[in-house]
Amino acid sequence: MSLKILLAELICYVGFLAIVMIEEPLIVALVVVVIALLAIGMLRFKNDFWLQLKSEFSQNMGKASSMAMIIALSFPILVAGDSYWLQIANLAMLYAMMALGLNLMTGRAGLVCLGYAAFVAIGAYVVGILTLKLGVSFWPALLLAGITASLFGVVLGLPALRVKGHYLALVTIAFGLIVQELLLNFESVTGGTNGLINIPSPVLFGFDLSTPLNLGFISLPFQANFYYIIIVLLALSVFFVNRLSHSFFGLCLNAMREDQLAAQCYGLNLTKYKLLAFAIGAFFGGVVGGVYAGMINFIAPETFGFQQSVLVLSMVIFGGLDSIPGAVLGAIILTIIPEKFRAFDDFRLMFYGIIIVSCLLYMPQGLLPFKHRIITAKPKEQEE
Amino acid sequence: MTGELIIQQLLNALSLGVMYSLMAVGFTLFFGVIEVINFAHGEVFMLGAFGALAASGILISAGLPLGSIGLFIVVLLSVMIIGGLIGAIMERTIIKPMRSSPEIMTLLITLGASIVMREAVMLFFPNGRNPQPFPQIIVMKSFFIGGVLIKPDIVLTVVLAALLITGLYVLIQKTAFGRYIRATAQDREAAKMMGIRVDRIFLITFILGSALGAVAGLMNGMSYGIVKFTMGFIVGIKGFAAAVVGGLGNVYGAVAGGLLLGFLETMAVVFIPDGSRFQESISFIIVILFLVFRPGGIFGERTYEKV
Amino acid sequence: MLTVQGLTIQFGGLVAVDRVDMALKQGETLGVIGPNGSGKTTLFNLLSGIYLPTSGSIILNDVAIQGCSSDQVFRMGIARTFQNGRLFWNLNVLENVMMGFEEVRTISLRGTLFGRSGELYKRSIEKATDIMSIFGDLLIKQSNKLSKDLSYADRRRLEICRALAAEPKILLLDEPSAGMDAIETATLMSDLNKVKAKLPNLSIIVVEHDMDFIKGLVDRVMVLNYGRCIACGSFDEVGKDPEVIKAYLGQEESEC
Repeated sequence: MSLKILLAELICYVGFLAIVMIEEPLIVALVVVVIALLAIGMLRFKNDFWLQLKSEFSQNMGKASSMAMIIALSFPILVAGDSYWLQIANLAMLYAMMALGLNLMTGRAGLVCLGYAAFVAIGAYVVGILTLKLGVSFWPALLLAGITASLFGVVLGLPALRVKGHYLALVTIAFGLIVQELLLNFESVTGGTNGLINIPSPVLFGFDLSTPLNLGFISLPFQANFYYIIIVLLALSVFFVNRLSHSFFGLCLNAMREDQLAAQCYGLNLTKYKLLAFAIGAFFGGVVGGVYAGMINFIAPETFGFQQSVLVLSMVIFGGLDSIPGAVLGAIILTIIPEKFRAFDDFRLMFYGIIIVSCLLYMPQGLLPFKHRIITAKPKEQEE
Repeated sequence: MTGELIIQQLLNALSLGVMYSLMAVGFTLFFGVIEVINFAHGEVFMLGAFGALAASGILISAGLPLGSIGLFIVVLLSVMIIGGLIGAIMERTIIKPMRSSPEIMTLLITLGASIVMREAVMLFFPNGRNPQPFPQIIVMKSFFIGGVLIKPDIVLTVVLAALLITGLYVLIQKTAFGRYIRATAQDREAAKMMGIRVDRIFLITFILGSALGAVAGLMNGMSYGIVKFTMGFIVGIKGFAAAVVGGLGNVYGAVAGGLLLGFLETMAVVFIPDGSRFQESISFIIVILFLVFRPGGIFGERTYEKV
Repeated sequence: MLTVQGLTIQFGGLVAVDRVDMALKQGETLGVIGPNGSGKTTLFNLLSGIYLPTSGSIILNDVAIQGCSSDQVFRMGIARTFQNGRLFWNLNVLENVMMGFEEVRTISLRGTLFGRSGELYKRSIEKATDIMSIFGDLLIKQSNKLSKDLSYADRRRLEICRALAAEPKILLLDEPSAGMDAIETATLMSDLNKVKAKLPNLSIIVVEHDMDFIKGLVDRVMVLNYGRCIACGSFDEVGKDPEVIKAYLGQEESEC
């Protein structure tokens, strides 16, 4: 039975590789259209095969995702060390982690956040400043990046205790802009507009991650090191977010999203849950920022602007609010597709805008809508 | 600091403030009547400025003399028409279909629309990527009153904004149509049952608000002499913030909020050392404090959540 | 166990609840009636900590709770339902009931990340099913429906289940039969009487317009008018009180 899942994933992977490898944009567009039509056709007809596959996946989420991770390990070898695509894959996975963090805040807890990029910026600058100026080694700095972002999450959460909905959207936008302005203007620490350059690369067990990875039969560019680091981080993120979501804690966040007053009347300490949601969601952003700083070795304030916040949010919406596989898939698709059409790079933001609008109009549930958890665990005595 | 300089700064604050006010009135109308926050309103502002640029270009090449009052009036009218048209299109294509969706979805779709509008100008307006000089549509001489240099465009801006806002006031308070708008804002269902065509009210509200936003864009172009496709974002956020400070849904509050915000921002630059570098942070922190401690806005009363 | 003294709240110029005194014994059921706008729901909002009273005290088992927030009040044992129905609309029926459980709220972060959530879930699903059985299989067979897809009457029932899941000391029911037809109301009354028999220590305060429902359920009735308690006593006593008749029927006394 898990053979079916494996097969389906392998087919998707081959399709994905095809999209990545084929250079001609027209053919890629053709492939994308064919895949999209196939997917829409399958959803429309709801034939048995498709439904079976779907339930198969939803019942074995753990297995399916770990298999997907293992399959994905072969990516650097299969693209024969194409450093460009490895870098894109790295970014896609970092976006996936951001989407997971934001999804916890906005999708699960219902706290709109339009300043998520600020947490990423904070993480990146913590790692940058600590490693560059204070000589701290990368890994403790990365942990601190996450923690600092969490603390800022709590700071942002404080006004969120009093305001909600549209007002919260405004507060989070303002937060993002304030952080960016501070980064721009505290030149002595942050380097101002020029940002921080020459951030040292991380070293893992004596192995400098900025050197090529030699696997014996093939030598991969240094991006492959980061690919493996990030995929482990992504796997951990999926695991933890999944645990959090499918637990009583996640249920409480859901209840808070649905009706804050009723949730409070049912004993939820809203302060605690809001601050926790912000802190946990921000943690992922901070870690992503830290890894980004170590990978690119250069950070500047404009990398973490409002556009990025909107982009991450559109990934979450595109994948389906409150859906974990949706967030990951949405992030990957929305990072890869525009890269394929980089000949039309000017249209990239336009593309995101159109995706957001049309997705909300025609597919408000997203790509992989959230499934309720109890459906499979229905107690037996009711089924007669 | 001399008294003249202070008055000078106050005038600057006033002209910035009325621009925010015009934007805030749009936000507050949309929220009060339709219960949406239109994050694309800043782009309407930007499109108003570009519309003015295009319209004046066409009119000048058609033979209207630069700097004449006639040109100004025609440009003003065409900007209002452009703004209204954009508002109408937006209401019909993205706001109306989302009417029953949760508020976060409406908020996001307007954000998406704002990206599309901004990028469209960048990609399709001739030389849209770069800042463009804004023609001096109306030429007036600066003059002194008691040693204070008065720039005429400030006077024009303030007078125009005052006229528009008064017009809106009369429309809302004194006409039958305004009564329909107020009724719809109070209770949509009841208004519908009383035979008010709520759909049409929504559309017209959007046209009105957007036309005002577009005029704000024209004013911005006139007083700074330059337009850029990215100019809408920050003004949009500021307009929203001003509406919030004034209490969302309250038109007078929006005007007051806009003036207050313009004033605070100008004063922050003048009185706080290094204030210009932290201008945005200062005004946003004030807005956040407002939200936390006076969620109902300047004139707002304490609200009790309906249970 | 619950003593309320001089409870008052003022909204601007309007005194919505005016110097109300009441006392509730363990296991007692108190009906609160009164014309629309007489302050019944406001009284509930005060008792459940949503509104802060202007003056007066609410004492639950010797602890003053009038300054507590609604989550604290809930944790001290007062659970309520809402007049217009405030379920967690996009959660399913079981999850709504589970939100009443203490273990759902108190789970630690460590337990969340590394504990056996599957097992915990299974256990609370069984518990929730058990609670829903007071309404027969009406709700149980809809366990996996989202609460927004329930019928009006079922939403009411679910609210009651969610409140009972918290094992409260005092249950506040705000117009539980609103939107139900006569037969459903009668069934609800008998179901609630079953609950009372099963949980003899549970005190209930119920706001209701349906007099038959009140008559069949409560031990004592309190009548509010313009925020003031104008009569208190058994159902029959209160029915004879001239002030109550006046409040309900207006100035002229007609034979009724």
